Amino acid sequence: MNAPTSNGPTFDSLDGLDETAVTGLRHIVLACADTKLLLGYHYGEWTFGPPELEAAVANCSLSQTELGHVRLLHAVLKRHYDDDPDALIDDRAGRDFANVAFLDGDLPDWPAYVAANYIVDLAITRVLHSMRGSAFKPLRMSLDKMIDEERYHAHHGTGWFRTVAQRGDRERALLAERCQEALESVVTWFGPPDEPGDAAIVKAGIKARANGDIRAAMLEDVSAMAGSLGVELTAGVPKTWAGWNPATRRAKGDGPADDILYHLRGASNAIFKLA
Amino acid sequence: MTDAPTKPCPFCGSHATRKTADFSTSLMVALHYCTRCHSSFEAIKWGDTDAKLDVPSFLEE
Repeated sequence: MNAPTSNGPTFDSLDGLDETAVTGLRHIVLACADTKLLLGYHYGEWTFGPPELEAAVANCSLSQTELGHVRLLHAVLKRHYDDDPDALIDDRAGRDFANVAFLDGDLPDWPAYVAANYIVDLAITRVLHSMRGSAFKPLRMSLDKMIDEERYHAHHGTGWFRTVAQRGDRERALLAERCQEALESVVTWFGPPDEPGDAAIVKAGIKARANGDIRAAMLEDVSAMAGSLGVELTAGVPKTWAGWNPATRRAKGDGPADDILYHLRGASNAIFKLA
Repeated sequence: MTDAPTKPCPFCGSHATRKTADFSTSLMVALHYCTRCHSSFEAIKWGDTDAKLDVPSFLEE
C-alpha cells in the first residue's frame, strides 16, 4: 500500500466530505470506469486482426483486466453513490459517457490500437495512481490491484509503440497521427486546470495531484519518449474550456458510437441476461 | 524494447531474430520474429534483461 496522499483525515464513506468533493469523486471514478469499459471493448475487438496471433491473445488478457477494473470501480459507485452498475452500462445515452473521446469510434488500424494502449490507457493509470493511498479508503485496495495489472498494460503499450515507431517512415507517420489524436482527446479529458471538483478531492487528500499536473507530467513523458524515436507529439492545453462538462469530460461530441454501445451491451442478446 | 541477445529461432535455428513484443500469450513469454524463415515464436523470459518492465518512471517499483 502506498503512503497516504495527505496527512489529513481519512474517510470510510462520503460522510465528512463537502458536496463539491463528493461530486468530483463520482465524476472521476465514473470517467475512469467509462474509459476502461471502452478500452475493454476495443481490446476485445483486437482479439482479431492484430499483426501477430500472440498479440491477439494478449489483447484478450488486456480486455479481461479492463472489464474487471470496471467492476471494481462500479462497486465503489454502487456502495457509496447508490449507482446501479448494470444501468451505468446499459441505460445511459452515449452522450452521457465520460470516456476519453478517442475511444468513441472504431480503432481502424494497429497504430490506433497502440495509441489507445500507450496514450489513453496510461492516462487513466496516471489518474488512478494519484489516488493510491487515497484518504477515501474504499478506493485503496482495489487501486493497488489495478495499478499492479496496469504496469503490464503500460509495458505492452510502450513495447508496441517502440516496435511500430522503428518499423519505417510510413508506419511511424501513421503512428504519430493516431497518437496525436489520442493525446489531444486525453488533454481535453483531463479538463481545465482549476476544475472545482478535482480541486476539492485533491484538497481532501483523495487524490495526490491535480489533473492539470498529471497532464503536464504525461505530456512531458510522452513527448520525450516519442521524440527519442522520431515521433513528434505535441499537445497544448486549450486556452478556453467553454462548454466543457465535468460529468462527461468533453465540450462537444456525442460519446461512444451507437453500434459500439450496442455490441458492448450485448443488446442483441438482452433476453438472455442473467437475473 | 531491450537490447538483449537475440533468441534462436526454434524452427530454423537462425539467430536472425528480433523481439517484437515484451509479453505475449502470457506474462512469462516474449514474442520474437525470425527474419530468415518468417516465423513468429515465443520464448520464456528467464529474469535477465526482460525482468525490468518498460514503463514510465511513476510505475517503476
